[in-house]
Amino acid sequence: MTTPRMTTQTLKVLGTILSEPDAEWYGLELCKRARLKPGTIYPTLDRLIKAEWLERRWEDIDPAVEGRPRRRLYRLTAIGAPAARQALDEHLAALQPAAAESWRPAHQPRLA
Amino acid sequence: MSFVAVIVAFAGAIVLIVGRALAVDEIKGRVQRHITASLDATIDMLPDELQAQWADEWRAELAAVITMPLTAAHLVRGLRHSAHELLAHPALAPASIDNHAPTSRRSRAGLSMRAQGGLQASIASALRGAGAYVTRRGDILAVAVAVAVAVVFAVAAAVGDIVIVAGDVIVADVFAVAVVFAVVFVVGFVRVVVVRNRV
Repeated sequence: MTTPRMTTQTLKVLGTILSEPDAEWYGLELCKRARLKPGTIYPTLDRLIKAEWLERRWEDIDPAVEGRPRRRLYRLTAIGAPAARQALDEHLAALQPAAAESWRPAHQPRLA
Repeated sequence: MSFVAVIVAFAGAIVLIVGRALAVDEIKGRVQRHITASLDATIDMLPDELQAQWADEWRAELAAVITMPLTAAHLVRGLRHSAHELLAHPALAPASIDNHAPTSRRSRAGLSMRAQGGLQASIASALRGAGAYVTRRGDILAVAVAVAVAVVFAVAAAVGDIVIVAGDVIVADVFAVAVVFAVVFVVGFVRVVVVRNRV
């Protein structure tokens, strides 16, 4: 198992999946919810699968009955859920000082 | 005279509606076939291992949006980009003949000559499409319907103008009806192209 490269797109995908951590997602739905293009989503999903943070399966439906083809569904693995949450927390924590700095008024002295 | 004009106008309107439906279906079918072929070409350029992983999923995603031409085209464009990204994965990059890393990104990605052709391939594809377009009977029908619609509108406009000048209100009504159906035609087209593309 390897740790996936944490790009902005990867963080967006993980953030979207973590909004409903027990849900199963299909590619286009993730595109819409994460506001990413299809060109971005599949390589990202591929990396997360290779890292064993996500697992996928084919939807268990009869296409003739449903009137649409089966989708491939993605969900967090037991390893992936805590790892994704930790990765997001780490990136948010890293961003917070920078965000606080950018909001600090010019006349206010820096503490410590 | 007025009764005959109304009958002629409605007959023309029915022909227009049927013609428009035929033309729209024909164009939609052709666009869908083109988009599907584009996805197939994208999948074909992947090595077997990646095809096994992604082909069925991508075809399923396309099937879900194939009735929305703009969305489907956007999806296929994105999938082509995805294919390039997946091919660029170091583990899949083919070694060059002297076992050195290839210099071109496309070479490194292992793309076919057709994919490397880029603009030439696009132009060749467009020319092939144009050639096929005028040789297919269905397309000739679509073009004939479009020409007929244009002629009907032109004649109606000319007759309307002449008769309006002459002060004949009856045939001017035909012109008015033709204008109404022209508006219906345009609104219907916009509805097909724009509204059906909402995800």
